[in-house]
Amino acid sequence: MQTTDQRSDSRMRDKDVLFALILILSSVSLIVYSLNLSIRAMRTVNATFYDAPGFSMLVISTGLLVLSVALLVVALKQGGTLQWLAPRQIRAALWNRSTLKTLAVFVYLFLYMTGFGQTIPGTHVVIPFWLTTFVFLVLMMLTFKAASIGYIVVMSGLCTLMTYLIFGYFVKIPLP
Amino acid sequence: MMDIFRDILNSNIEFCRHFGQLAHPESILIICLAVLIGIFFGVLPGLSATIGIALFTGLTYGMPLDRALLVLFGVYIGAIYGGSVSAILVNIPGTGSAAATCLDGHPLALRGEAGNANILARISSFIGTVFGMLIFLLFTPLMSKLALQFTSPEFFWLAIFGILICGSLASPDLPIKGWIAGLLGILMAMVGQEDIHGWDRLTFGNANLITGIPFVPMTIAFFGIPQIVKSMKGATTKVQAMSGRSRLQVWPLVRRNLIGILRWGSIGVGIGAVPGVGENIAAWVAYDDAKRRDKLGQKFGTGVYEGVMAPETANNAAIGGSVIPLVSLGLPGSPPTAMLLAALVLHGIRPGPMLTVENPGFIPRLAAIILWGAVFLFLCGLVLSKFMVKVLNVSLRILMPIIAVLCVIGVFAYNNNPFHLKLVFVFGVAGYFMDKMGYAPAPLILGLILGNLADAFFRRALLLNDGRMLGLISRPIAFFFFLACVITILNQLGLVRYVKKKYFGGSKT
Repeated sequence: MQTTDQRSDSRMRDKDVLFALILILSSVSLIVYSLNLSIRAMRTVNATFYDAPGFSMLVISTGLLVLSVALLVVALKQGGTLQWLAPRQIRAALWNRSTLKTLAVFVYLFLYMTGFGQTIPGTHVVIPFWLTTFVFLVLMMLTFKAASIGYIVVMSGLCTLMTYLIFGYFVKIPLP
Repeated sequence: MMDIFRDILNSNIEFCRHFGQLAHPESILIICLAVLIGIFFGVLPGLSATIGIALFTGLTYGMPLDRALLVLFGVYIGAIYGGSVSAILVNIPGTGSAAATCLDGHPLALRGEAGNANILARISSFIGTVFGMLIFLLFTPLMSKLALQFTSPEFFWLAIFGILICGSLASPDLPIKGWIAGLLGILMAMVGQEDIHGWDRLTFGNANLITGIPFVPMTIAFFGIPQIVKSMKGATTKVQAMSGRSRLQVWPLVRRNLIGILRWGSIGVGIGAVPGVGENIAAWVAYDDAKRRDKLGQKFGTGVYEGVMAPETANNAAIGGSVIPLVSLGLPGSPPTAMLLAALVLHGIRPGPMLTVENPGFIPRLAAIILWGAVFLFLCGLVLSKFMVKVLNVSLRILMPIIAVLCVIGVFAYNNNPFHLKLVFVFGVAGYFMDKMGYAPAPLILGLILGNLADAFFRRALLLNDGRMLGLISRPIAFFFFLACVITILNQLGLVRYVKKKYFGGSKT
C-alpha cells in the first residue's frame, strides 16, 4: 500500500521522465544549432572555435544534456514511467476541476495580456486600458465566485480607476 | 591597511551625511509608504519580497535613482518583516523566510501571546536589519578591493558557483533540477545579439528578441504568474481574530539574548552573502542554532520566545548580507537582490568592483536607506500590525486578479513594449509547469541575469589564454572558485559524504 507521499513522489518521477526526454531532445537540437552557428561564424568572420558565438551555448547545452540524462536515470530508478500518457489517463487528468480552473486563469491572462494595447480588429482604435482591465477583473472574480456580483463590479471599477489614476496619471506610465 | 581604515572612516562620514539628507519629508513619506506596501506583500501568503520588488522595479523605472532605491529597499525590508505577521497569527508564512517563525510564533499566538510574539518579531527584525546594514557598510569596501583583483576567469567561475549553489539550495526536490533551471536561465540569457562578434542567437528572425529576453518581465513570469494561478485555484485564507496583550518584559529578554542575537545576525549576514541563497535558509539555520544552544531546546516548537527571535533576526540581517556581493561583485545574494540588480542596471548603475570607483558615495547612501527602512519597519509595525492582519481576511480570489493587473502594468511600464507581455504569458505558463514539477525559479532567474556575463567572460578568458582550458583555473582565486564548484557538485552527488565515511570514519550527522 503506497502512502500519500510515495504516491506524490511517484507522480513527480513520472513527470520527470517526460521532462527529461523533452530536455534531451531540446539540448541535442541546441548542440546542433550552436555548432552550425559557430561553423558559420568561423567561415565568415574568421572567428576561432572558442570565441565563436555558438561556443558557450555548445558547452551549456552539453551540460544540460548530461543533467537531463542524469534526471532520466534518477526518475527511472525511482519508479518513474510514461504509462500515465495513455489516452484514458490523459483524459482523466485533463477533465477535472483543478485543470479547468488552471485553464480558465490562463485563458483570462492570455486575453488580457495579448489584448493590452492592441487595436480593435479592422480598425485603428486602441482598446483602452480601463476597458480591458475592468472586463478582466470582473470575469476573473466572477468565474471563481470571489464575491457577490454587485461587490465584484464595484470592486473592479474602483481598482481600475485607482490603478489608472496612480500609474497613468501620477506615475505617468503611458497606459493605452 | 591604512587605506582601508581611511576608506571605512570616509564611508562612515558619508553614511551620516546621507542619513541626514534623507530626513526630508518627501523621502520619509516615500520610504514609509514603501515599507507599508512591503509589509502588505509580506503579510499576504503567496506574495513575497521578490514579487514586490519585481513589480516595483518596472513601476519605478521613470523615477530618479534615489527615490527608486527608497521604494525598492522599503518594499524589501517591509516584506521580510511582514511575513512574520501571518506566520504568527495564522501559521501561514507570508514569505518563505518566515517559515521558521511559524514553529514557535504560532504556538505563542495560540497561548494568547500573539502580541508578545509580534513585538519580538518586530524588534528582532529591526535589530537584524541594523546589524546587516552595519556589516554591509563596514565590509563592502573590503570586498570591493578584493574584487578588483578579479579578471574574466574569476568572474566566470563566480557566476557558475552562484548558479550551482543557488540550484542546490533552492531546489526542493532534487539538486539536479536546480542546476537544470540554472542552465535553462543561462540559455535564455543567450537569446539576442552576443557581445563579441555581434551575431544574433536564438532570435528566429524576431526583431523583438535581438535585445534579448529582459529579466524584469521574466521575474514576473516565473514568480508572479504561477502564484496567481495557484492562489486562484486554492482555498481562501481566513484568519481568526487573535491579539493578546503584551505582558512581556521585552528589553530584559533582548539583553539576556544579546550574544545570541549577534550570532543569529552573523548567521543571517553570512548566509545572505552567499550568492543566490538568501533569507529563507538564513532563518532556518539561525532557528536550528538557537534550538541547539538554548537551555529550552527541548521546548522549541511549543512557543519559545527565542524561536521567534532567531529566525526574525537572521532573515532581516540577511538583507544587508545579500547586498554585499550584489554591490561588490555584481552577484545577487538572494532572489530579491536579483531583482534589485535588475533595478540598478535599469537606472544606469553597474554593480561590481568598479562601483566604488564610479559612484564613491553609493554604498553609504544605500546603507542610509536601509537604516531608514529599519526605522520605519519598527514604527509601521508598531502602529499597523493589527490593521495589516485584517488584510488576511480579504479573499485571495479578489486580491490575485488585482495583483495580475499590477504585474501587467509593471511589465508594460518596463519599456512600453506589448511584446514583453506576450513573452511573460508564454514563460508564465512554462513557469507554472516548472513549479509543478519541482523546479525552483530562483536559479533560473539567476542564470538569466548572470548568463550573458558568464558567456562573455568565458570566451574572453579563452581568447586571452589562446584557447587553453587550463588558463581558466591558472590564477589562485579562479582555482578557488573552480574548486568550490567541483565540491558543490560532488557534495550533492553524495561523493563527499562517501569519502568522509570511508576514510575519516564519518559522523552520523
